[in-house]
Amino acid sequence: MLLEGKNLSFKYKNTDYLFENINISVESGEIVGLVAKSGYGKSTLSKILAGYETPTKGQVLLNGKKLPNKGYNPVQLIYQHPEKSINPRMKMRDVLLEAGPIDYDLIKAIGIEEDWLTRYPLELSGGELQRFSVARVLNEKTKFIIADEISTMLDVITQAQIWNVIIEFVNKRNIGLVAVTHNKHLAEKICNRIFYLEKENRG
Amino acid sequence: MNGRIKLIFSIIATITIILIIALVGILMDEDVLKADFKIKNIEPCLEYPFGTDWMGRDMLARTVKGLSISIVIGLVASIVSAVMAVIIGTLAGTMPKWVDSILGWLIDLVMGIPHLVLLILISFAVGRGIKGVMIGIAVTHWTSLARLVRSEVLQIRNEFYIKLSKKLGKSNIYILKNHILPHLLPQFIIGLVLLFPHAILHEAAVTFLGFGLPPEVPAIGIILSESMKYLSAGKWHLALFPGLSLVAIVLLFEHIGSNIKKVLDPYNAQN
Repeated sequence: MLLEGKNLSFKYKNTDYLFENINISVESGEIVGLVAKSGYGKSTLSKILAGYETPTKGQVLLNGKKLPNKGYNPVQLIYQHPEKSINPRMKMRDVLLEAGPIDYDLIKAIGIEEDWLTRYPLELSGGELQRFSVARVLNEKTKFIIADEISTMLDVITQAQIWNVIIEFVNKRNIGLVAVTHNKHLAEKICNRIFYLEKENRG
Repeated sequence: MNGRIKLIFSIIATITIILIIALVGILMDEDVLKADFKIKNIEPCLEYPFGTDWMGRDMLARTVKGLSISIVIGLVASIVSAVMAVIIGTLAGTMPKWVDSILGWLIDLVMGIPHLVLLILISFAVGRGIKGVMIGIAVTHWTSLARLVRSEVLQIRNEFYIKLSKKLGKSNIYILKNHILPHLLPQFIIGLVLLFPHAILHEAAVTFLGFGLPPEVPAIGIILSESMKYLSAGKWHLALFPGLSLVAIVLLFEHIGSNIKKVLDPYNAQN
């Protein structure tokens, strides 16, 4: 499968273009890095690729077709802020169940302890929550993962642990991954190729 | 014992008092309410703590009966009102813009007319009595809660986890049931309980003015308006005790409401 962003441009109301004419593509089984400094539109581009935002110009195509509006989106975004992507009034078990049945081996590998499942999001730290938002999208319905700065708030050991689980999963299931980060070294270590969002792309 | 447990105890105790009053009133033997001219115009004493009226009716019994009628009317009216508020508020928050505009206009319309005027009008139009008062109160009191619910829904609808839930393939109904309604539950309960005192006071007011319950029913509003005629003749106890009891019940509900607010919504309880 192929996920591609064609001639993507984006601007918020009453501002200049955040970026213009971006072409980016990921194939199944490929890990692509998206590297840029803060404020260059990484998160916006991630949201566009996962269908959360509509680009001002251009389009996002999955195998030549538009992303589905209904049903499970095969392109899943893991958001930078786990506390915003999890309902504070839901217990962690229900958060995982929302995406489908719980894979206990997987959540163990990603470092989720079983007694966290009965807690509320406020009773867990940001890093602990982020493991849940990662675990939630690692299922057989996901074909592409856009990981937007998912490890920024974690310590180095936990970062390695989470990335290992994701990369293992991605390789096993032949999933395409876009690793969005400002950390060039991380991208160089895990990615097959890297896409730099540079100053020239800005309007 | 921490503050939270104390609060919950206090809420349960208050609810129990109200339930007892309601049950005593509902199960009361009708004979107690009958006129007995041998004992008319007795001032408050040990046997008749609230005294008796010009027809020899025990004022304590009438007051309790009246309060229990008020509690039942208040309960039904505020539940209907709060449910209406949640439905209308949620519709306004989730439906297309034009639905929101129409509902907003409707809320403004009902809010713009003084409660009592609208209440008299509706209760008169649907044929007075308990039914008229209940409908009247139910359809006038939902507005402010509906507005609150609408703004809550508008806010929560833009939360990232709701958008994410859609991308996980969840339907709007699933999102409403699992994300939006649980979020509204505290508002609903607090709104419901705080509607109670309003409903009871308006019921008494409409009845006092003669547009509510029929005169043979011992409602607080009836008791108060009848006692007006005898007040100048020195029968102070006819108005004082039923009036104080009404205020006491209203304060009890207010007490429950603000305490539930403290338990369910600690952030806003301090303001």
